[in-house]
Amino acid sequence: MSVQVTHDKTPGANGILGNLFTRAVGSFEHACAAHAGFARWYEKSFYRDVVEREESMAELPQQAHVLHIGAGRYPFTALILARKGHKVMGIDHDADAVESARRIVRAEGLDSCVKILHRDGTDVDCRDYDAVWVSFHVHPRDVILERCSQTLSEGSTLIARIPSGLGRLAYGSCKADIGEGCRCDSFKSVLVVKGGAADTEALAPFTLDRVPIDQEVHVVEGNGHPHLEPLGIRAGKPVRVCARMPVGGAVLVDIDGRKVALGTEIARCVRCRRSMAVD
Amino acid sequence: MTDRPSSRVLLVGPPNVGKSVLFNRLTGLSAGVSNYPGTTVEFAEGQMTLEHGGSATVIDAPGTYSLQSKNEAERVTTRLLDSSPDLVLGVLDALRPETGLYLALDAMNRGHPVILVVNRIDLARERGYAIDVKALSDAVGVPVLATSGASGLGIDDVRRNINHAVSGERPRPARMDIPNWETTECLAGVLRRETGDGRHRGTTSERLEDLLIRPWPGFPLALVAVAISLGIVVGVGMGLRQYILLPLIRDTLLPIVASGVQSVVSPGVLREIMVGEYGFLTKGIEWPLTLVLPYVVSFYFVLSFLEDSGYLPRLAALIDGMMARLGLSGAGIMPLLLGYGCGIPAIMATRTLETRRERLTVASMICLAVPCIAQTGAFIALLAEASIFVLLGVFAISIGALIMAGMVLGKILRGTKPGLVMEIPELLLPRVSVMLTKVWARAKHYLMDGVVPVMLGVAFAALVHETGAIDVVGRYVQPLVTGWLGLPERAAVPLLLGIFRRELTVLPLLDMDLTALQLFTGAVVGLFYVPCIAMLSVLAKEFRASIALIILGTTTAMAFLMGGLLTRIISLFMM
Repeated sequence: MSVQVTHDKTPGANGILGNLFTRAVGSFEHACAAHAGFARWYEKSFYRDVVEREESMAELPQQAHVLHIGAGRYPFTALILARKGHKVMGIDHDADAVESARRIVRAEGLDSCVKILHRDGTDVDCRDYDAVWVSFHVHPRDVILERCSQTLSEGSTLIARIPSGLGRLAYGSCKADIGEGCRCDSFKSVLVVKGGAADTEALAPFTLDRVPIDQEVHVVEGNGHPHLEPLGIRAGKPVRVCARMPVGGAVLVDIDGRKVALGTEIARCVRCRRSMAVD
Repeated sequence: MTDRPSSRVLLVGPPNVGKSVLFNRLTGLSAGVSNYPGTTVEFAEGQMTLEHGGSATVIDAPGTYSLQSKNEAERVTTRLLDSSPDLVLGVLDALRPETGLYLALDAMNRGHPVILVVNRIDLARERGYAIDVKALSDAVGVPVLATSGASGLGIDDVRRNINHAVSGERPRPARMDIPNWETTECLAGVLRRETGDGRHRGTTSERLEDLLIRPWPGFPLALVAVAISLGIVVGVGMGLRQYILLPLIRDTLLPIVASGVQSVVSPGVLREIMVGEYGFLTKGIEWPLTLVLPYVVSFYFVLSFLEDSGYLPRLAALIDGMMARLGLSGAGIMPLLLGYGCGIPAIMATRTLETRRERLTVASMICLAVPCIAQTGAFIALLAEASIFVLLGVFAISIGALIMAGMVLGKILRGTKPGLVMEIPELLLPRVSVMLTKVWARAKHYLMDGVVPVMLGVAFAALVHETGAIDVVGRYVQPLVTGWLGLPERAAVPLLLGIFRRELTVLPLLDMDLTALQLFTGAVVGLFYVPCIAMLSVLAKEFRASIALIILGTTTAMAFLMGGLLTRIISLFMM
């Protein structure tokens, strides 16, 4: 397994906004590394919830083996997962960050459960892990994500924090074609991909409000609104999104030539999968 | 059995498949029809003559997607089904039969005698589908008939089958299981087969459909559509008034009436009340017929076009995101638009909304700040001459108040947020004959129900005026009307009359020689002022008497509050 660390520090890799954010995150992690009390408060009041939510999406087994790409100067995610009894391998491509992260792991007394290595994410091998976390700031994100999804073994899970909404403005959208994330705030989404046969990632369910315009998908499951089934939005039916109104407006779908407008809240609860080219 | 007059035949099917058109064909009545789901919110009954004398009662039920009712309109249908009708006509849309078929199978499963009617077959054939009613009939074991409500094709066949069925040979299906979508789709395939040689839909109309519903250029086009609609309502209304109704009524009819009365009634109070300056046989006829009727005609002409073309659901889809900010769904736009015609069908139309919270919000918004067309006609008469900006100002206040009311009610009322699930029908070019029928029905309704109350109101006003009772009334309301609103004491009378007809709050202000500011104040008070008594009774029936009372109190308070405040604010700037 030849891995090098990736923690985005490449200047000019993103737009001005992206670089500004990246620098802000760097300073923030510096501050955390320097003030343990502040870091612990931040972890408890904010970060733990995020990781716990991701953990439940990943459906981790007990004492799972986790790889975290882009662990950072203060490895919050690795620490939180370790405290829940998982074994974590964190990697980062910034030598300074690795040094700092190791110090913090030691100070937290978790060095038996968390290992930090100086590696690059573009050629990781995810085969031996139950789950792989990919940080928001990794670079080049799309290459790393595709590499992960290719090497993920069956039954394992890839958890990737990808830009969405405003985040896309700053960091560009995720172009790795491995599935759709589910929105967690106005800035980022979490992408959950199950490992397995080569094209299963194409079947990862995503919801109707996120289907790209003019793409055909199949309905996996409706949301129990009694009008959806009679209007043709039933499990297994092919559906095409014709238009989406801006700022949380309705989604217009086409089912067998019948057009139906769905409020965004309703569309969010209709799970879909990509139609396979074969059928 | 044929002479049993109480045989009840129930039309059941999904929304917008043409049940009301069939109903009109069968009974010769004219239930409201249009091209959007949820036109019928209350059932209509009509008699159909049977072959051997006697008649059957045909009931047109609101469209429903399933028998698990989601909104009040659907509950009307499930209740009708529960009352065990003698025959159920399950209406399907030939273009997408499975929705109606599922519903009909569900009705069969519940033991109802069912005849299936496949409507709009002309359209399906045009699109290249072959409809095989025989095959479906063999599969489900009940008669299946093909019709086209629009052209009348197959209606006689339906009549014959109803005759048979209510004369004792009720269609009893083979034992039906609870339907599932797989079998239903399978049966739909038996009924309908693609022949492939059909004419594809005109690409122009398809392209137009796409343009209207995509955010760009859908939003700008919606604004254009609203602007054009307003222009037609006001422009055509004014034209009708200027060139047809004024010459006909004021210049021809009224002088005849006046001279007739003058030759019979001697001068005095009675003659003044009848044909004097505010006589109920002069103003009482002139106002409703020349100020309100032209706008009733032009408004319902535009509304019919919007309804029948299928544009309204598109508007609902476009506006859903904005309505969501008010805790409503895009479907709420339809009752609101209807409200600009008349509040009563508008409040009834809230039945298609899903949650009670949404229904109540929309109904309250209509009562508070949506002027009905009679009142709008009065506004135009009152304000347009003074300044078109005063008129636009009143409408800006109406829209602003609607948004505010939505926001406030969204905070106050509890309940789940509604979600939009709305079928978007195809765009159709409205048929002029259908539109004219609708406009005529509306105009007739206004002539029957609107003119007489206004005449009585004017008579009352003239009586109060001529007998000097106005001085007594004026003394009591002086602080409020003169002191707070800055209007003359005589303006107290229209406020009293407004409870009967909304235009009566505005019309009598016409000849009072008011300043622009006073006109504006009067219009704002009229806008917010109480819903008319008919609306209140519908509110009490649809919701609760206490809710009607709360709305009555709130709107009255709002009217005086806003009227007084705006007068003060504007006069500050005019100093």
